[in-house]
Amino acid sequence: MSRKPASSKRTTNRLANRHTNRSSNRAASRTSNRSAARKSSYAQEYQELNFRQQEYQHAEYKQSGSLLTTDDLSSLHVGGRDSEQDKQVGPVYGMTKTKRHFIVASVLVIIFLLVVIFGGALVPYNPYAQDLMNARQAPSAAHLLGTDQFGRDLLSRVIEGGKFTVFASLILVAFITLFGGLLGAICGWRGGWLDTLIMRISDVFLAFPGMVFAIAVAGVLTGGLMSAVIALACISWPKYARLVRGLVLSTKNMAYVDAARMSGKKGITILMCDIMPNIAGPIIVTAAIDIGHMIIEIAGLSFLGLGAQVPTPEWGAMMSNGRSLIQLYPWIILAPGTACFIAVAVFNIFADACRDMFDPKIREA
Amino acid sequence: MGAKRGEHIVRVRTKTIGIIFVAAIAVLLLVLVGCASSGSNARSSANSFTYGTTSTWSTENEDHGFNPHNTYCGWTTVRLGVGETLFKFDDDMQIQPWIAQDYTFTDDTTAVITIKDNVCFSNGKKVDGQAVKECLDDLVANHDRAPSDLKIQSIDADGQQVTIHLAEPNPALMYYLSDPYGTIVDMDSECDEHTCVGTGPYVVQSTSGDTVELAKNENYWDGDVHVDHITVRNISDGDTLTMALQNGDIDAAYGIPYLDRALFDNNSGYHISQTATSRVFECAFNYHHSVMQDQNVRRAICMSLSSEEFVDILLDGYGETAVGPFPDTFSFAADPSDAAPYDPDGARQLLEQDGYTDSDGDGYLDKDGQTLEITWLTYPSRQELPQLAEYAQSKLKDVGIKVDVNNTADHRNFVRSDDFDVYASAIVSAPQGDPQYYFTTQYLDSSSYDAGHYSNPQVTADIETLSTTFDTQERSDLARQIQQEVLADNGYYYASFLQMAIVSNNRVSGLEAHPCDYYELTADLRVN
Amino acid sequence: MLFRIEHLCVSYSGIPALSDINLDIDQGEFVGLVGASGSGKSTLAKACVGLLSPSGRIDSGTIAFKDRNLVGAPASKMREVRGAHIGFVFQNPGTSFSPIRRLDVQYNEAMAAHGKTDTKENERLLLDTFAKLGLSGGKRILQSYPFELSGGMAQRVAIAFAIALRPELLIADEPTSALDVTVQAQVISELMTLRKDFGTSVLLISHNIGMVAYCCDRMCVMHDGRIVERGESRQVLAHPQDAYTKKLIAAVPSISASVPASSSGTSKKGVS
Repeated sequence: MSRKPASSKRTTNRLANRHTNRSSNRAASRTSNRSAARKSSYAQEYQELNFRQQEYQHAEYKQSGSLLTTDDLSSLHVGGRDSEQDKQVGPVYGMTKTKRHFIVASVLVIIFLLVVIFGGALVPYNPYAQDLMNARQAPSAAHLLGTDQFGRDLLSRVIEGGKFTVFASLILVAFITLFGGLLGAICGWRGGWLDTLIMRISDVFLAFPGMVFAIAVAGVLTGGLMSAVIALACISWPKYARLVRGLVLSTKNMAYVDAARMSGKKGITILMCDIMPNIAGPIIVTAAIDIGHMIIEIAGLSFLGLGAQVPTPEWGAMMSNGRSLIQLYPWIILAPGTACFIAVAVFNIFADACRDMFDPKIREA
Repeated sequence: MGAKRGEHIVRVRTKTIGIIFVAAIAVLLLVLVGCASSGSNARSSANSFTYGTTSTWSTENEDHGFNPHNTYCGWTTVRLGVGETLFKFDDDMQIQPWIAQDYTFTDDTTAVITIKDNVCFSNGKKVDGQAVKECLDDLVANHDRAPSDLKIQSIDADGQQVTIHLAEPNPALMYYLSDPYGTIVDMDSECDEHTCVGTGPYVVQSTSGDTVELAKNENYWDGDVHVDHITVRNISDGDTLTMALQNGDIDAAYGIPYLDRALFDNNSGYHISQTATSRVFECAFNYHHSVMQDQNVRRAICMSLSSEEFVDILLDGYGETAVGPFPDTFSFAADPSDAAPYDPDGARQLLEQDGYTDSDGDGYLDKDGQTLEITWLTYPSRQELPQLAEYAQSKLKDVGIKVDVNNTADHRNFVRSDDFDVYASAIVSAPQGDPQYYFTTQYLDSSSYDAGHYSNPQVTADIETLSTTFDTQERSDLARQIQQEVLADNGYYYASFLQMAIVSNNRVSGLEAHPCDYYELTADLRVN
Repeated sequence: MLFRIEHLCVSYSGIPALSDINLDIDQGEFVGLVGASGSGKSTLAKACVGLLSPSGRIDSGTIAFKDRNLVGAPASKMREVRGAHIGFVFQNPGTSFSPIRRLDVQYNEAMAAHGKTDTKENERLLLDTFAKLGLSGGKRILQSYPFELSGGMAQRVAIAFAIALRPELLIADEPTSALDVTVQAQVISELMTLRKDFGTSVLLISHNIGMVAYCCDRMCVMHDGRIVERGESRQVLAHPQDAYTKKLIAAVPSISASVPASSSGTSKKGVS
């Protein structure tokens, strides 16, 4: 008989306990149960059937080499306590791999945000000072990432610009996730005319060319980074509405939702406390990926005067303005591009770790 | 036995699905590759040529058509060698005979033009006085700008002669007739967005959204045409144009952005024909705003910016320095000494004498509790303009003036609502080689393009005089005087001129850049 | 009469699922509902508590709980009744708890929905219930996540939750069908304890006629959306009237001394 190696204390203890209690309990409980079950002949036969089937299953288990042995099973008695086998049931605390990853990811994000917020005070050069004599210099000891067409140090500009880019993108993604997610959840949960109405509205938004809408918004608001965020927020929420709606629809029919209804909870409580935490994973991951997309989208609106105005060293603006120089002076676009890449990577790692933390099966593994 | 058969079925099914997947991917890849390569069909055969341009045949510039009597469509007709005007400009911006032989002014309001005897349209029809009259009548009846430029009252035709009766004296008449809207086309044939019949070396074969196909004009009156077929592609993005030229999708390109020029300079695979144009990057000051009404502020701004620094360093030398609105290739260009000198320290002193100090220590000057802050309006479609804005912002900050840049494609709305202090734009100042056009459109308060509402009674009077002066030397002198007065007012600041280049690969010869920007495809074009 | 269903008709998208169902349950009774898959047992169970899927409709009939009609009752009334007066045990214990939250959190939320916000009191009550049902290690169980419990354990916990508020009626929809044999009897005996200790009426729904006969006072047999036979369990087993019932009983495997060791015993006929 092959047995899987006892890889945790839990299993070893369980088996040990079972062995000690086996003999004493088995005979006693069987007898008592049998006497209690002599209500009707059929009942007795029913019990017999149970035991017979148990033995067949013993044989099968034996063949398959499961963790539980014959002896283990025979000590499982009907109608009594099975405290032995469940002795080790319960939470496993302590540092699992998932929790370690989460801590590392959180530390990364915190370091990144600290650099973004406070880095501006520590930059080697003034990010706004033009030095035309040193324009378009390749990376060197004096300028680690090179200089741009106005002679400004790119490392300093990238660090200074982080706060504009990262926060604009984070605010935008947070808004569309929360707003779109909320609408989608309500649509998925309630269904009916509200669902149809909101979904048709989101269809209109999706069908409208985003650029046209952005132009309309630009006409109403004056330029600037926050106006770009507002313009994009208006057109990007349908994606999350649909995503969350789909997720809610698929979990709405799960048994535990019915169970929650059965326990008398109100609809909105079920939605917030039971459904949303269960579907948070895909939403978080999608949002993290969108952080990078939104940086580029913001830059794409710059021709309308939306987005950061000069001389703000916003990364998206730096990349789109440096686009023409990529063949001759590639570092001008590589510096903000790399910064973007780092930002997106850090947030994606964090989002993955968050998603794993949400699912206790993975978290406690 | 059943198990084996079941297993077999499953295996077959798995294989089938796998094969379908792989086949689908392979097909898609083929389609993608096929579509990509069909775009670059310009591995041209011996006598055909592909030309890329950012500027012609574009809906943005209102020249998406061939009827010269419709807004700017005449530019397409002339640039693509489909039509010709009565006179043309040489490299010194002097007019020379083209379809016409010569002209005279019999009196102040009457001009007689003699048409050459051997000119015919591409359909073989001879060009005589009657044909020219019909064309010009249609121009005056339909065009938006031409009637007020030309001031034509009526036209008579007699054989090869055309007599034009003017409503008032117009010494610049022949210059205006050389504008592309003066292209002579056959009024008896179709003349619309898709085609027209002109006298040029090429005829329109077909058009589509962004492409024009041209063929050789077998009936060209002025010599041999050496290229049988030309494809013209409008590529609105300068960087895309550069890459198209680099990988051979096009043989020559007009509108390579100045930042990409270095890729083709000193590159043995290409040659460049470049010229200074009269497209000037100018800054208009808004006289409706109190901060700009102070001449000391305007002068300080002019003294803080250096055209040489801007051109040599920021534009990498791809531009021409500016003093006034006309490049120094023109005889009536402004005198350098008339402009404010580049002197940032002097600018600062000027402002301090004017009562500005940095009382709150924020690095910017202020007076009466108000920071000296100006809005700089501009647009991104000309690469030089955003550079100029950022350059100015930094230089003016050093002097103590705060600049907020508004760089938007929607600039016209801001101009209309007077929502700016400085408006930087690019404008062709002497499209007909004559200064009068610029003065009347920029220096008069009634002008359509006087964004800053500049106005000076002396200047207004001088422009009046100019409109009735016929002697070219006198016109030059008067023009210089007008510019001197405007520069003394610091009514405008002129940053630089656009250096226009046509880049061709080594298959191509005869494609030359012209200062007036009208002539591109001509009979001189040859491909190997 | 605690619970009475009269002339109930339910349809899914126009197709009738239940026709003219009449059923009553008295205080403290243990009633069983037997039928093959697709006979409408789960539909009936769900209809009783208003958990029909969106395509299901109650066409006519009444469901009276303590003489108050639940058909067409407003949502607030249903919320009040569920949990506190009618409890429900689901078929698959694994999915009847929210997978990502601890059991004690879920329990407290459920109790809070009925206004019982004192968590210490709630926990004491639940541990008490656990003890009565023979579950040990209650504290540890409460701190676990659902996936950490075996199927049998989870179902027993589900039962404990369902009766935490001491509902007068517990509806158990195939509570043991997803469990292995060794645990089935445990669960059944716990359900019987409920009646003994708390006086709860139980409506047990199952396809296992043997089990139903063992533990229920009365039983009903369902076929194609109708109740074809009803009566005392012993009576129905011994003297089935309806043809379908007879077929059902005949299909149950018999118990005899010489059961071969290699088969799993599905093809034997005969009833003692």
